[in-house]
Amino acid sequence: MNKYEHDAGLSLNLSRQLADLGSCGLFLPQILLRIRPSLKQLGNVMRQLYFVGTRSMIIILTSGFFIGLVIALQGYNTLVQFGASESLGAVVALSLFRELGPVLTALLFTGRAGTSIAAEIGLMKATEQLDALELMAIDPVERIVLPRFIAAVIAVPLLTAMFNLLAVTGAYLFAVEWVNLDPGLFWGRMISAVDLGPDYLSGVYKSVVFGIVIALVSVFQGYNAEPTGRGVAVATTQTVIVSSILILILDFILTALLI
Amino acid sequence: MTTSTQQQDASTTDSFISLRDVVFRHDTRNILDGLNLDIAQGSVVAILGPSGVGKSTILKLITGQIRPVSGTITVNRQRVDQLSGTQLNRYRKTLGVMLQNSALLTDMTVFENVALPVREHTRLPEPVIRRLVLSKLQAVGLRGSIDMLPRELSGGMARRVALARALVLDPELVLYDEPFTGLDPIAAATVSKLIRHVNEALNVTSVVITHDVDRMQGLIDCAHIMIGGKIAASGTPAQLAADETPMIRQFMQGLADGPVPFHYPAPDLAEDLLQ
Ligand SMILES: Nc1ncnc2c1ncn2[C@@H]1O[C@H](COP(=O)(O)OP(=O)(O)OP(=O)(O)O)[C@@H](O)[C@H]1O
Ligand SMILES: [Mg+2]
Repeated sequence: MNKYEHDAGLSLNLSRQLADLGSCGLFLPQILLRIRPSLKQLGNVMRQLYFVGTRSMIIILTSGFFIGLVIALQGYNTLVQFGASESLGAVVALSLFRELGPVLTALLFTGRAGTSIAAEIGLMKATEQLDALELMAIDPVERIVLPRFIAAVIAVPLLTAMFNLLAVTGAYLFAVEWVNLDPGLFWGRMISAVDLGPDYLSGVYKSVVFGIVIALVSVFQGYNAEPTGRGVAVATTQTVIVSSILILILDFILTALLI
Repeated sequence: MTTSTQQQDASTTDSFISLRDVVFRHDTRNILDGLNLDIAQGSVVAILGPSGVGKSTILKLITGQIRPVSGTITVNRQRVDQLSGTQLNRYRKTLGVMLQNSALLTDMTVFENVALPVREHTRLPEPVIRRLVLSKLQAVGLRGSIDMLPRELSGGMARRVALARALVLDPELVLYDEPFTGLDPIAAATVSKLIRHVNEALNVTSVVITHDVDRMQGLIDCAHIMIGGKIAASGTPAQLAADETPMIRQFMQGLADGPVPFHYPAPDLAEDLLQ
């Protein structure tokens, strides 16, 4: 079988997918071995971080705000039946910090930034830009893959924090402005319910793992894309499929481990 | 074919590039089938041949991007087919390559694209880099486009920027894959003159891959015509034009009928249609 032959859709070829995951994992040390403490590399990473960050900011912030509104609305409707509406702050914060913040940010980031990283690298391959770099004795993994990988790894936890911040703001606005909860009670319950370690930090750990997964899958799919238009399309789709599934599976595993 | 043997005997002693009995295959089809090629130091040489015959493949073998199934590739006394990763990088710093599609980095301006190899491989101060890059862009007539992005360039402009990038570090060997495609006659003549000029000014060896027979006059010292995985004839443009071998005559004069296969290997058309 041709090494580029995969299905753009839901591939049922499990062994092929597992083999892909294996080579994807092997790509990680190859990337990490190229990290150097150099100013040039830092500059490249900052440039990519700026691109990745600005690209994803709007979608992450708006989604965060509306997710905050929705869980506040849902939570309030349930809590009010038990006469526990003042716990709204606590419920919102716990579901956000532990689960929704890291998972939704990771999924949104995959769709926005992961796909564009995969498509960009795949297109560079299809248009011989990666070959041209090699011919100039410039390592394409160091010059193209590494900065994008690190930028994505850094961006995901930061964007998760912003997502959480906007979601809490949304929930606060709903609680205080719409259903007239006491702001002091909202914050007070939230602060006393959230433990830094098990609640907030477990979310941070998750977002770090998700960041690594998305970054690795995106650069791997792009770098190994078939060098054609169709190949780039497949790489982009595969990035979404593989990252999303891995994020949800790892979320379960990490929750079980961290709880 | 007297020309081809004479050329080989004359150049084996001092050839800069030498391919010996090179076999290369994709899947099961032999693209190069025992190919021999010698290129003298300081010359401008053309590799001609019909589309799909394997000209770009020769270029990839010379740059070490692919390795032959058998045979040897020697450039400047180095066995390119045996170089390790770091040796290959050192070797490539002495090369200038203009690929078939220009392959400029899409997220960088024209200036940054040309400056990239300089920034990566030297520690020159910024004003010197600037002067160097501007002089190369001036030579291809594109000094005015330094702040443009590759997507804002026409195909022909992009090729000329790629040429400036290939030449920016004053390489010892320059490989041009189809340098004239997409260029208007004036730009093509400019590029042609530039290739010649670079060759004389810096005493580099230049290999021009092309199927443009007419563009050769005044540019090249020697041409090699590739047909069927081998070099079918070598010689000066004048010698080749006078060659009476049917295959060479057909190729040089662009005749549709003759022994040169135009079709990619395929089963008989009638059989294919009946299936
Ligand atoms: N990745 C590949 N897989 C299979 N066959 C290939 C591959 N790349 C090239 N080939 C085959 O190798 C042959 C030579 O290709 P090459 O690119 O060297 O041709 P070329 O002489 O440069 O043609 P052109 O003038 O059209 O650029 C072609 O017939 C092509 O079908
Ligand atoms: Mg070619």
